[in-house]
Amino acid sequence: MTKRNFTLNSIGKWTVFYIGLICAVFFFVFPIFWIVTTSLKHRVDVYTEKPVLLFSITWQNYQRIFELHDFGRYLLNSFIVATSVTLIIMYFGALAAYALTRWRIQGYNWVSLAIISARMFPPIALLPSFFLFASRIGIVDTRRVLIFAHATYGLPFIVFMLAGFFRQIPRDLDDAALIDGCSYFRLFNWIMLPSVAPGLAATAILSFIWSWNEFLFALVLTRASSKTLPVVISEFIGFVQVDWQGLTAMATILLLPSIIITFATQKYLVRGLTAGAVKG
Amino acid sequence: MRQRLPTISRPGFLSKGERIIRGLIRSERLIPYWMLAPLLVGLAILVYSPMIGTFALSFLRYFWNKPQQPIRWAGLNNYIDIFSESLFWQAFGNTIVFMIVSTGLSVLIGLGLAVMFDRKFPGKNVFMTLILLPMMTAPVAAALTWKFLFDGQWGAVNYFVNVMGIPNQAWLASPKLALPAIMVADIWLYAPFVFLVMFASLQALPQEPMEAARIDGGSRWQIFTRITLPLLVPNFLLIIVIRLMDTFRVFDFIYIMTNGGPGGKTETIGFLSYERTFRHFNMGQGSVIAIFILVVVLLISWYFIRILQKGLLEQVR
Repeated sequence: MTKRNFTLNSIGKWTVFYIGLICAVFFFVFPIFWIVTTSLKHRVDVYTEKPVLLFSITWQNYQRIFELHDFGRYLLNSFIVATSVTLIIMYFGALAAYALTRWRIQGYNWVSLAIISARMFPPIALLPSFFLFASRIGIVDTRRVLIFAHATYGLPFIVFMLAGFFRQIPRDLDDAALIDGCSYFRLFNWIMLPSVAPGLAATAILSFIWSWNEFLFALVLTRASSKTLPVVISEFIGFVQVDWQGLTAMATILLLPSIIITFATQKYLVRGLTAGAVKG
Repeated sequence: MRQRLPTISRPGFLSKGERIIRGLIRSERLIPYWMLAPLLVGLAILVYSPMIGTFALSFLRYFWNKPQQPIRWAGLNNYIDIFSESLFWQAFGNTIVFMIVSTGLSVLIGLGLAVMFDRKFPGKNVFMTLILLPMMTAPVAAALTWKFLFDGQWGAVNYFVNVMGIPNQAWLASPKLALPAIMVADIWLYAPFVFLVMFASLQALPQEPMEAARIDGGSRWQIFTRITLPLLVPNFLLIIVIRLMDTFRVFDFIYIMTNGGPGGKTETIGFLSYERTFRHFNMGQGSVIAIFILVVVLLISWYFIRILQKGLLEQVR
């Protein structure tokens, strides 16, 4: 019944289909392509009337931002913050998700509401008084305060996600370990954490990207020495003459993790989302 | 064989306080609460106390760059000032337009792409990966990218526009075009996520109703509008709520691309709140706008919160 005959009509349809598809791909890919290539261009190839597609590659722009603008230091800041946030979210997120899925908790409704709705509070509504609090106790412009803010704000969503993974682990596993005299601490660290490894991998990716990309918390809570990349880039724009070469180089570095992750996980992105649904 | 004695056998050596603390640590019933404690304490410090704090600040007259100036009670004056200010209402109007257009278009584009990908064709995986490429991009990088593309002098968009016979435009400096330009950037960043969610939901739909309709002679268009779309409504609502929430508090794009200009044409209330609090140092007025944003976002997200909570509840049972 559904066998496709390649009549003129269907060829026409497929042509339209591919044209639409290529337009969409162009819209979504060209900006990234353009930023990355611009960062590799010489000055003459950037400031032109017509976009230049064939050009000789230069690393000058990268060299310049690292040498002149101390970019390495902020790159390190971003990396330290994002890595710490990832580790904290992974451990405490799993801990909370485990507690929520294994015990009947007094006031469960309120606890879950408190956790889930926390994510809905816009950062801009928290920042006026959190900023005052942080500056009163003197932790503004440290990496600590940013790590705390990113980790805490990122946790609720991860708890929600990990709860789904813990649910799939049979309770018998807990019981067997407890009967053998395992403490809860060891049960969690050595049995539960490894058995939700796929969930933790997803958590790691999402947390790292969240912290790496985040702008508003970083903008308010860091001033000078502990700035992260998005903040540095936003300040760099404000220069009198917009330095597109330097900016595109910075943007490329900022984009790199997300591009790598998208390519590395593309199978799981689609399959992970659809597989669970198909089974259900 | 050596046997370990149970350690609780000597309560006499501990003070009362110590005994209570040890009891709390050991008690099995409290274990889940210890596990939840770090998260809940964190949320209390970062989210819930500041929430109350911001609410309190909205009633004060407080410029935090002038610590020598006394903090005064302002009553409802901050609210009156803000709600009678034309810039606030302009920002509110811009935000609403931005919210509706951005949400609408990103959902339409996402759905359109999902329907396109809901079939077999050569190169499907490659195309999908390419379209998903912007999904995890940092908003700052996305904003910067589009600021560059829309640049009046060196931007690539002008080149494409010229090809179509339209003269150069100073996109982000133009009162008419600045907001739409920011919408394009926002859609570029978030439509892939909508696409991914819609695609996954399409794949997960049961095939039987469509099959039955096909056998009964329904056309493709009929099947799509009468059966597929209604089945997708719950997913639709969820994604629309997420998008509405995100677009209502839009900040990064405005900060990077236009700074609210030209002439307040791209001022949004998220950005206005930031400006008042951290550029004009006016904690009171900034907090009023922040509270306003919070109330609207919570109203929008109430539905979303209930669904998530239901999901979490199911996972316990």
